[in-house]
Amino acid sequence: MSSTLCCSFAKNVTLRSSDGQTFEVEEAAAQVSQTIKRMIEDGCTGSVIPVPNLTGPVLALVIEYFKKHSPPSDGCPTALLEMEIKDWDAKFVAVDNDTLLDLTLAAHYLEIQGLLDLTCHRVADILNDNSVEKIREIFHIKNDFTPEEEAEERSKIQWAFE
Amino acid sequence: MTTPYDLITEILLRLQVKPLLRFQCVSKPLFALLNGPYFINLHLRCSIENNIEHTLIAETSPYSNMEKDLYILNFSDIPNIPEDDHSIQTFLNIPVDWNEPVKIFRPFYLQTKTTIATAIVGCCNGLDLSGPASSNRALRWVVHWEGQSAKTIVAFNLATEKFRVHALPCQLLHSNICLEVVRGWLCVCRDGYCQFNHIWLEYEVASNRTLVEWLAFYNKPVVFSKDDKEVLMKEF
Repeated sequence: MSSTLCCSFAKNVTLRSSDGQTFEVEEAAAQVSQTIKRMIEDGCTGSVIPVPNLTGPVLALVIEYFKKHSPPSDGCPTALLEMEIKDWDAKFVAVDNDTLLDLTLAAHYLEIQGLLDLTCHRVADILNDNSVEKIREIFHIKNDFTPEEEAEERSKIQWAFE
Repeated sequence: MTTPYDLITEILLRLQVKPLLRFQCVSKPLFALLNGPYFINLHLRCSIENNIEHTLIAETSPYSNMEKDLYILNFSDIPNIPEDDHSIQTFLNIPVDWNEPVKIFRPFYLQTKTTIATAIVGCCNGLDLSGPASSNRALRWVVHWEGQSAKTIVAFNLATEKFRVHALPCQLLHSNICLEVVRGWLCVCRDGYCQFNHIWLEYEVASNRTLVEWLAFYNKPVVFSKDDKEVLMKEF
């Protein structure tokens, strides 16, 4: 997992997940994350960069995303490449709800705007078709309305439930 | 693990009106978030940027005694939305076309660079279903209906996306009108010099809704329930 193919001049950084797994990744690829980019610029690259909010499996997925979205070494991305990345993105977020939320959180913590847009859109698509109960389940939100209060709020916007 | 609310906000910004309204019922914090000006403004901005939903309804001079003009702003007609919110004013000279289907947004007010204040009374991301001038799935405005000299209440039904026209009580023709909702019923108030001094409340008579003069106030435009425990309508 920790081995990375790299060209001769590429500089690598090591990322460590909350459960102690380490991953080596090209510095240029890791800088897709604004958070990591800042850390590198601040001179944290000598040692391992801790990513305490992400578990190993999630960090591994995020690194896959880094690799796919690192700036191409040979100039501008072609239209074909862009389409390929779009397809790849769609498959990348076609995962179960918990993994999807983990990825969304990861994108949020690591400030990866592209991944955040991608995952948020995917979650929004799922939410569009789901019930209030399902939303509570997905986000682990506790319902603090009394049954009477909830019924009243629902009755005010009955049309939205039709 | 619970998802942080700023992340939930990021996700909800991408949702359309109808699911957002449903999600008000998820929890109290979510209810507060969705109804707060912070989220509403962000959502409007997001809708404009992504060109998801296209229509904004605006009226000029919400507080003045001037005649109000309603405008529909169609975002798809505007190639580039400038970043400066105030410049929205420059797009407002689009005449209302009541046949256009529109979505409703919670009213909020833009103070423009000119002296005319612009109130957005309806828009794309429609969070306003319990606010002023909305009841029973409809938003209502007082306008000059095309071809008629008298003011009319125009209701927009959120479910069917159709407009309906209510006649005003004849005494109100030359007054300033304010619309409120009391217990789901439309309430029409006539503006006195300082206070609203007449109130008409909608009643259902033989399945027809009609406005009945109810009470007159001079100094205290607050309506309580019969047992005086609940405020049904506050000062405007």
